[in-house]
Amino acid sequence: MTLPACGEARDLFEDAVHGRLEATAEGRLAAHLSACPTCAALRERLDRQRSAVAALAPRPVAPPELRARLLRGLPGARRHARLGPALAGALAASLVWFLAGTLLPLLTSPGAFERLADEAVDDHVRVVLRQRSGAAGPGEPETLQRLMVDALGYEVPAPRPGDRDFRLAGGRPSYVLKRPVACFYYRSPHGYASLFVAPVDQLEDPARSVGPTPAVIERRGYRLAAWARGGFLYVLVSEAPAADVTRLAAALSS
Amino acid sequence: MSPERDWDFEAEALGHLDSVYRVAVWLCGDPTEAQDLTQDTYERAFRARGGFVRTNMRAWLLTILRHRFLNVRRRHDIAAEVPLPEPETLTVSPLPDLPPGLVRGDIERALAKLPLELRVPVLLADVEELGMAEIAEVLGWPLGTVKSRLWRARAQLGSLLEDYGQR
Repeated sequence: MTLPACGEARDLFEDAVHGRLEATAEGRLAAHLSACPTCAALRERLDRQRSAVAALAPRPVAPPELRARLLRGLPGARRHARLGPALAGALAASLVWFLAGTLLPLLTSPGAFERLADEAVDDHVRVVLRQRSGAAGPGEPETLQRLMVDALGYEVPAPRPGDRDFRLAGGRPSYVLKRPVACFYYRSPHGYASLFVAPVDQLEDPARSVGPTPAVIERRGYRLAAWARGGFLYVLVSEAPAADVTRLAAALSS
Repeated sequence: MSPERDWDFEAEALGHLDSVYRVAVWLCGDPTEAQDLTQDTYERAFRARGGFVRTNMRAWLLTILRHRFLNVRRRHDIAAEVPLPEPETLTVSPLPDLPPGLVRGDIERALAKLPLELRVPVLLADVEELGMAEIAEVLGWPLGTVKSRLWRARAQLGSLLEDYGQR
């Protein structure tokens, strides 16, 4: 293999950081760096700068009033407001059923966890669009737990109260991957989070991809954290920054 | 577009709200102006949803944001883009190493001292984690311009931070 010149190698530095290089280019870059201490040192300095900027640069988040203004103006929000909450809920549930049962398998063949993640994102957004906490109203953990037992027909653990930003605000029964699941709803000054809880034996396929410690992933612009513990599968969805979701997931899973 | 496609589109678009608002703040430098710009961007995006090809929603939204930003700036006769002489090669400017003990304020001040056309690509690369091709798409620059400006930005940023470390 012919080694790339220094200029060509340095040209690849930026895209090499997040694994965007093709295997061939990645290999050529690695070969060059192992033979060129000047470029290797430069790459290290670049990585240190990138890490510092990523960790310390200001990261403003959209103010809640901007999010609320956009939600009110959405064509979807207006459509559902006209339909009324009950009919909108029925339509949404039908849509989930239709997407999960008919369209998704035809359009794509994602893994079980990816399908669960997509439906969890959809359901989270549906709650946010409605701007209400769901059937339970006040967010007392025991009240919400009783509501879920009545609605779902099985026990779920009482939800944790939240963390320093996100507070438990409500809950409602939901329906993902054709299974009834509990959905608890958390609110912070900067956003919302939905926690889906179901027995592992109800969602065996997606649960196989999930470990006991929350792991945060990005899905369609939302952050998801999933973990399985005590026989239950937990999926947390939020539009909040990854650091906030990680902290909330740690509080809810402790 | 069918109702389910509407729903899907809105959900995904709103998932990128923080990114869009963040870039708006970086471009405008003013949170109030950034809110207006973000709202304008989403209104345009929802009207133009039929033209969205399902590839990269965030890059698409940020491209609309950049167009709206330039339009507003032009309306107010503010220079939106300052042409820069391009460096001959990427190796012209050295990249100083970071001194120890940098704090958030050092990075913020150093970034604030970079001109807009150098600051924004660095933030898009390091905070939003966009690749070179995505940055080129979002900013409407040729790929070579992105690379050279980003390199120049990193060199200037490194020099500024090196100075802070010698306080």
